[in-house]
Order: sequence, then structure tokens, then C-alpha cells
Amino acid sequence: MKSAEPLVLGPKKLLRRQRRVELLQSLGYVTVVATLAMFLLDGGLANLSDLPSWLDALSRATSLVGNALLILMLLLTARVPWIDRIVGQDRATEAHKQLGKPAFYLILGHFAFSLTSWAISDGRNVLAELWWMVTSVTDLLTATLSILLMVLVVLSSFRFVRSRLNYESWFITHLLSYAVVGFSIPHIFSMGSDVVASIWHLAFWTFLYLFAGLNILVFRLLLPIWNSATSSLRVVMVKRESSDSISIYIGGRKLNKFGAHAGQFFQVRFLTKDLWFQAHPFSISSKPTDKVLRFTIGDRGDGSSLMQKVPVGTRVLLEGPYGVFTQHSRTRRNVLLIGAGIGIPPIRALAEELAGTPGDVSILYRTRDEEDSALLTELRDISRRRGHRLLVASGSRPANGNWLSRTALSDAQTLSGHFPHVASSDVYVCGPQPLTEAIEKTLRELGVAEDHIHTEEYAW
Amino acid sequence: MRKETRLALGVLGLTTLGTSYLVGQNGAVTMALPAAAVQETSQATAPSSSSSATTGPSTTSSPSATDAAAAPTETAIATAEPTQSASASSTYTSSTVNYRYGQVQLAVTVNGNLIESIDIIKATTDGRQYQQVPPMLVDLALQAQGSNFGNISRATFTTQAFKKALDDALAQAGM
Repeated sequence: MKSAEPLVLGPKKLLRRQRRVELLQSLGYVTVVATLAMFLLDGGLANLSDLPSWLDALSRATSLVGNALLILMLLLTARVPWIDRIVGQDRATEAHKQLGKPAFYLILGHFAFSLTSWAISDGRNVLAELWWMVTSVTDLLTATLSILLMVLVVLSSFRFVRSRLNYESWFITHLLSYAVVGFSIPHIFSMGSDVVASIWHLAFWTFLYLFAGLNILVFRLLLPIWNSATSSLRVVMVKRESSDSISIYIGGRKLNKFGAHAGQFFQVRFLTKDLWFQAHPFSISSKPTDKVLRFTIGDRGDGSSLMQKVPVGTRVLLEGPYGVFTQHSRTRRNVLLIGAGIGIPPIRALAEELAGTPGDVSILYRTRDEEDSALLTELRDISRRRGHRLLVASGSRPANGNWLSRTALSDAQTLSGHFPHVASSDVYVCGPQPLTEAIEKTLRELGVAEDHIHTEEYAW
Repeated sequence: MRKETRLALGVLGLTTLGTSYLVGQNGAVTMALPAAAVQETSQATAPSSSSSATTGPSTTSSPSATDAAAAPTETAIATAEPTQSASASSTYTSSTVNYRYGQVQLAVTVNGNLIESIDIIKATTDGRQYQQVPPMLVDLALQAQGSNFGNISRATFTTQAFKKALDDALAQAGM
């Protein structure tokens, strides 16, 4: 096997990876602290003499921190490569979700505080004041619209609402977030005197907005379109792998420019009339080449089947590649790859791409039915050729609640029985979420540290 | 994130915020209007946006509302800023800027690139405690030598109108 880059392993690599993650987290943290520090330096909490001035100060502080968080949230889901390469899409999305609530409450607070403060100063009731603000004050109409949209977006993100929405409705609602930020910008720059207070404040906020905006524009929009267009991507073959999976081969020119690695995924859009607005997160299922990328996906062949909807020749738009479920996260010589069900595609690709001498890489394929398992033949071939140890554990989940062991032995005992080096390995796990969690639990029991357990969810 | 890193960031953040707070309380100059005065007038007073004091290094206008004049809706205040240089000073009159609480018009005397004085031809404010705002703005503009200074807290609209008038006059002066 020839590998494009030399294989680097060891604790130093792990430390470098941790430092990059911490640097990223620190950048976000520093941004928030900086906004608050500028507010305080400006005398934000000085001369607070009465209720309106207190409310004013609160309104300023909440809006500053809230907006900083909003900008960070935008960046975290903009799928920018420099964030993705460090933490991966799923952790970035996780952070995005964590910031969501505080940002929402802070902005709501800003609205309530400023409205109350103005109402008291003007001696009007809150509703009359709101009406006056919206109708008479430049830029407050858009700002109010912005907060209404924000409520809508947040509502659609609550778990009980979101579970009732299909991905598209949720996604379109979520696209409104850009409108939320867009509509809020005029009043921030025309009235937010923490922003226009001095050239430094203005520069700081302008930079934040421009930086986020450009990242979104370039990485979310322009680059995927440019890369896809210049590669003239098309579906070249669709092949059934098992009763519930198919492979889609996408061909084009100079695909190396995407820089994809085994274990990563793309957001795939098929440019047909019915499908172009859906982006499917598909994992690469073989080592990427310059001419063809292969994706293997769950597909039951029923009404939702892509197989019938995506004929050969269909034009394709690719966004990606994404994810750190790759060789780059590996710091140990020994590797255990665990794939369960339709989680097998990235495992199959890693089995092919991971550097190693015979015995370094072990594979566990957890499948319901050995006769009807996607990519199993290929995995056997690769394992034979490269000297990987392959264990196929088939059958439905044992009745005793385990995910692997059917005997009195625990999952942990069974797993370490089959793979004695597991505790000193990097373990890559891909499968349905409940199963992945069960596997992670077993791995922790066996003493595999968090830094050596690699999972990737299709996060949205 | 490792524990040490988290600790270091926490300490750093708190120190920064603490220092900023202290500097803000002592050093920063606020020109917030005394809020107590706001309630005195029968008229609705100018609500402020969330506006901050300027960070200008040496602005020290006193915010005390000592002006005992009755509340006129329109005031014409001339600043006691005599034209010192007789050499090449010229005065430019801004157009009248209409805003939420009335009108602002300024006469700006310029000598070369120096703004020598700013006379208020017209500056409508809303309520007694706001009468002090235009002269404060004049001070700020003279110190900043232009409109690049922060808003006066709770008088954002007046500040903006003043800046607009000032910029207009300066544009006529070709500055």
C-alpha cells in the first residue's frame, strides 16, 4: 500500500491534536470575554443610578454576548474546513447546539431589557412603546422582525417539535437563522453604541461579522459549487450491495482536489428536479481516487429508494469532505475498527486506507445477517490481502441486552477475548446511535481512553 | 479541554473582566444623563438606545443638570468659543437636520484643517435635561476634531443628528 503522507503516531500527535482543539475552544471563549471586557472598559457598569440605566446596561451586555454567541454558532455550522479538521462536524454541531439556548435567552433578554428601559423613560406602557419603536425608530422594525424569526427558529429546534418535522422543513426553517442575523445587523451598527463607540469597537464587530460571513459564503456556498462544477460530477453507477444498502459511484475529473480521506463523508446533492434541495450525508466506502468516489448508503429499495430516482448520468453537487473519523485521529499503532449495520462503509474505506503491517489493524463487523451484509466480501478480500484480522459477529441483538456476547461473559470480556490489544488500540466505531453508545460503554470498561475512541455521527 | 487549560482560561478571563470593570468605573468617562431628571418633564423624553459613553481619553463634561431654565422646546445656544485666529477662518453653515425631536443646525468655523469653533444655530431637544446635550456635543466634536466620537448615553438620537449636521458643514469646508 502506498500512502500519500507518512504515518505519524504517538502521544505527541495526540497532544498536538488536543492543543488544536483547545485553541479553537479558546478562540470562542476569548471572543466572548473580549466583548464583555470592552463593555466594562467603556464604563458599562458605571453611573448606574436608576432602573432604566440598569436595564440599559443589562440590555447592552446581553446583546453583546448574545451576538458574539450567534456569530460563533454560525461559524460552527458553516462547515468550514479549519473547524472540521480539528473537531469534526458532529462535535462542532454539538457545540452549536450548546450555545443555542444561552444565545436565545440573552437576545430575548436584550429585547426585554431595552424595551422596558425605554418604556420607563418615556412613561408609556410596554405595548405602546413597542409600537412606537417599531414604527418610528429607524432599524428597529427589522430588529423586531429578527427576534420574531429567532423565536420561530428556536421553536423548530426544540426536540418535541423537531421530531415531528422532516429534515427539509426543519432545514428551511433553520436557514432563517441567516435572516435573523441579517435583520439584526442594521440596528447593531446604527444604534448599538457599544459597536459604534470607537473605531476599535467598530473594527472588532465589523471583523467578526465579515469573518463569519465570508467563511459561510466561501465554504458553504462558493467552494462546493466551484469544485463540483469544475469536476463535472455525475453518477456513473448504482449498485445494490445488500437488501438494505446500495453503492453510488460518482465520477468526475481531478477529484483529488477535494482531499478526501477514508472515513470522511460528503453532503451529496443530486441535481434532479425533486432532489436538488436535499443534501444527503454519505460516507465514502472505498479509498478515494482521482476519478471516482464511492458512497454506500442505506436503501431499502422501497418508495424512498434513491436507486430509482438517481439514474446514471445524474449531475451531482458535493459539499465536503467532512469529519475527523480518519487516519489523522490515529495515534496508536494498533487499530480496531468496529462497524455495525449500515455503519460499515467508512470502516470498509479505513480498512483499505489505514497504514499498517499485517496484524496492526483488526476489524469487527456486527451484522444482522452474514449472508446479507453490505461490503462483507470486499472486507474479506482486503483483510486477506493486507493481513487484517476480521471478525464477523452476526445475528440480531442478544436477548440478554448485550450487543456482542451471547454467553454468560460480558461484552467487555468477549471483546477483549477476541481482540487482546483493544486497550492499547485506537478504536473507530460507526453504527446506529444506540449501538454505538453501547459499544463505547464497553470500550470504556476495557480502559480505552476517550481520546482513543473515535466515532462520527451524521449530525444535523 | 484539559483541566489546566480550563483553569488558565478561567483565571485569565476573570482577571480581564475584573480589570476592565475597575478601569471602566474609574477611568472611563461617561456622559450619561442623570436619569433622575428624565422623569421631571411632562413631555416624553428621548429614549436612548443602548448607548455607551465614549472611550475618548479626556472627555470630562459634567453631566449634572444644573440648568435651571424652563423647558423650551427650541433653544438657541451659542457657545462661548470665540474665534481666536483672525487669519483664514471661514464659517460654514450646515443644512438643517430633521430628527425625531426636532432640528439641528450648526455653524462651524474652520481654519485650515482645524475646527476652531462650533456654534449652535438651532438644536431642538426634548425636555429640560436634554438642553445640556448640544453643548456637550460641541465639546466632544472639538476634542475629536470631527464627528468621530461616541454617542452620549441616553441621547443617541440627538447625537446622531448633531453628527450629521457637523459632517454636512465639514463637507462644505472640504474636510
